[in-house]
Amino acid sequence: MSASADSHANGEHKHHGLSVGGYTMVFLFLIFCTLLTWWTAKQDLGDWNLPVALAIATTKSTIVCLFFMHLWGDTRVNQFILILSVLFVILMCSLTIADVNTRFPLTAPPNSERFKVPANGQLE
Amino acid sequence: MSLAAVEEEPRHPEGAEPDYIRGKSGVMSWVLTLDHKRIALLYLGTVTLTFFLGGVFALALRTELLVPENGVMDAMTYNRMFTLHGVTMVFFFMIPAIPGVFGNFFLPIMIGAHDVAFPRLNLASYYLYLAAVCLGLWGMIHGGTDTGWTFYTPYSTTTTTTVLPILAAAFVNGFSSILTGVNFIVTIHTLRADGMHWMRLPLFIWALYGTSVIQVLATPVIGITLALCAVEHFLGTGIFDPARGGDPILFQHLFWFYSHPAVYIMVLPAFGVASELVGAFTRKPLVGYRMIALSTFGIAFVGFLAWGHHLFTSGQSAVDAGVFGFLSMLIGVFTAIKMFNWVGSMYKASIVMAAPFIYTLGFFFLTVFGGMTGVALATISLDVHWQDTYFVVAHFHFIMAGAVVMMFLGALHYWFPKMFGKLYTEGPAMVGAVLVILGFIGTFTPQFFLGNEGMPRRYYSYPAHFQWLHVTSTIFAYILFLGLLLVLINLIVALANGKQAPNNPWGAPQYEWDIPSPPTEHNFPATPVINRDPYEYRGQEIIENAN
Amino acid sequence: MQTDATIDHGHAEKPPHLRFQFSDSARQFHAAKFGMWLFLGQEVMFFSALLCAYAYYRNQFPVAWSMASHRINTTFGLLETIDLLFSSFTVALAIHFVRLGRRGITTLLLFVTLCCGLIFLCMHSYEYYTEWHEGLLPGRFFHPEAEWHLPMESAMFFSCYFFTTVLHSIHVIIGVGVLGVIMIFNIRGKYSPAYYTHVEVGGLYWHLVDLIWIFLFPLYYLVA
Repeated sequence: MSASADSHANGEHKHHGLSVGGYTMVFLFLIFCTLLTWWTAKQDLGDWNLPVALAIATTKSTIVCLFFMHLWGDTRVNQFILILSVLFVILMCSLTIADVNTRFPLTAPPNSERFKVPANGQLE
Repeated sequence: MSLAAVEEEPRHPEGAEPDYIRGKSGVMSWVLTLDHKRIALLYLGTVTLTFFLGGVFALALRTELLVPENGVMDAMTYNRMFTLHGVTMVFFFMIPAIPGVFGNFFLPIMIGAHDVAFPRLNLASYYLYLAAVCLGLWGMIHGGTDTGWTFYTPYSTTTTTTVLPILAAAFVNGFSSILTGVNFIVTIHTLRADGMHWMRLPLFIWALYGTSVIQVLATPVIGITLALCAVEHFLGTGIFDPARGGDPILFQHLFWFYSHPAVYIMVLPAFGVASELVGAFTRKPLVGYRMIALSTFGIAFVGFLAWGHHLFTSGQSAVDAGVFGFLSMLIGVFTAIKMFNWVGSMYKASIVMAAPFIYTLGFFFLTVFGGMTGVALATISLDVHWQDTYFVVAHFHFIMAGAVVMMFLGALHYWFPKMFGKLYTEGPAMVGAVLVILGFIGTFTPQFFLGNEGMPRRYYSYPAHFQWLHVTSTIFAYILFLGLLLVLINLIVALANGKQAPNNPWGAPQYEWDIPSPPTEHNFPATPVINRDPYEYRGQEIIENAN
Repeated sequence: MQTDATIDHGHAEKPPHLRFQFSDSARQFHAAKFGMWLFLGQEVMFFSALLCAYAYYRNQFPVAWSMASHRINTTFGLLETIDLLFSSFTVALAIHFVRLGRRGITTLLLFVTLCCGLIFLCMHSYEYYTEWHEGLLPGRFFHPEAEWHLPMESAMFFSCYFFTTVLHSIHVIIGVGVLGVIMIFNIRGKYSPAYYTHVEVGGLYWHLVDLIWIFLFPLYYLVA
């Protein structure tokens, strides 16, 4: 292998990244999303506030991963790692929350949502 | 067939590269080594010490249990004994042992590489482990803790015993584990030699891969959980304190989210070693290579889904308990796949009886019974009776000690000639193996009966009618200890006086037997090309060694 | 395993950064990135345990959570978010320019990124200072003004908040250190279009710090 071939080895990847203009566009989009999430938090969307906030955060982080972290066009194995981690996070959180949400109501803390004794005295 | 010693042929002809032990000399060349093989030996020295330390704690508590109460120690000391036994064995032996010693030594060799991907990170992993052991020892010298190795809140956050150094030790140990996992995964992906495609990897490598994935994904969770426990102990932040709206069960969820996959960190490498030993000692190609390889990932994945079975009687909801009970049973499917393939490999094989294979037989027996009692415990209605009794203690010792310790010792004997270039004496090794296996079975079988009769775990005193079972268990524990001493002495004598080992004393087909015993510093003169499967016998190995 | 058919790596022309266990630079670079992605995966799991605790308690005490969230400074949170996003932008540009061999601009961009990290730490310290004075602290240190009528479970919010943000800030400090070292190495001419692995891998670590904050901001500062 000649020295010149090797000097391009680092740069000879499927992804070459964006141009300066491209990175700037990505950055401006991220600022827009940040302001959007700030604004939507001020609106009363009821139960939808949390899913909307998480959706915007997920969009922002996906954009950061794909373009700033060069995952777009990177090897499949690198792309897989974060997906796998996120799946396990969802697994951990969902089964743990499901525990609390399905317990016998009187075992829940007195000030919690779960602790509700119906007026007719019949517990579910 | 016995080990064939080579007297005539010179191992190192004039001008040849010296082996990795004799190559560079001086203390600093060992202390600052970047050679994966030397790092493996550093791990071996430390895990041997921690194994014996954990064993001393075990013997202490078993000695106390010879009498129903007030034996050789008071109750508080007894509580510290079982806690320190658990902490030492789980964190300082079982998790690092097989990957740290045999993974480090053989992973690069088996894939045709000169070293791991990140040698300096590898050395850092060892020193983090050593630091964790030192932190743990410091905590033990200051009295240790009595929370049990599971550190359940609220006791762990309110106890006055020295719990903080032990928590810190486990935290630091976690980083060692994570970095080893990262190193192994990257090495397997990027440093395989030409011709080493995925379906040609030795099954030990598949096992290390699965182990590493679990190490990377699960260990951080326990790091944070123990840190939360430490902060609550130190500052009273109340995350697990019901008086402040906290929930102790959250601690258990977070703790077991790691600690259940952790048992697969311990067991998967042992399963990998079993595949190697079956491949070597049955003198025929292994049955079901693909199934054994892929079931490793089945175990790794489903292992993450089952943590709630440790919380069946803790106050978890019945719905969650049902889900976890069902998911826990799935693991048995993948383990059974491996078992049937190993047994199928032994069917109509020409078995070579040597110490490593005796350990393999012990491994099969203990793992099958340990595994089956695990499935029984996953049945919630049965677990209500057995939870927190000796039944659980016997189950996990059967499977963790039975699988991991058996295969650690089996691997140590099997790879001893390659690692040290010396042959050990088979007679004492086989006697030691039989003593160890009988010792294990005798120590823990009575405990199944104790647990079923209702003897709780971690209890200092017990009703007199349980005494004969406890005494039997303790006697066999001492037999186990004697067996282990015999094994250790035999191997130390072999290190000092053993006959020179040839490249392939077992006549085994796997890749590591092609290189000299012990290997040179860079394993191969140049990167090899792999052109055969790992368990493919070509006949000449048998001819060479049939003297 | 045949060792007679071997690969010659062309010893005469090996680049100085190529380590012996790798056959070529591209493989070494890929290994470094892959290793860092695995490390980032475990960092995600690190914070996930705290996220789980957060979700566990927010699910049980949504009102206490909301009331507690209103007491922390949303404007600061927004500025910190913009600051970290900008720092991600500058470090991505730094990698872009080091690939082109523009050493001076790379140094400047790394310096700006580092400064953004320091600005973040200053702003966050001020937030902690304010919360300390207002008694908005975890567990037994929770002494808010009575007129805010914060329920007891709001202390749980602050336990999660302090633990998570302190852990995040520790990662920012480490990131600032790493960027500083890389900047100094760059000034000394260690990196070139042929070898800029540290910059790429250090940049990935910095992006993680930003990624975590992208989630922390709405979860802690914007609870409706």
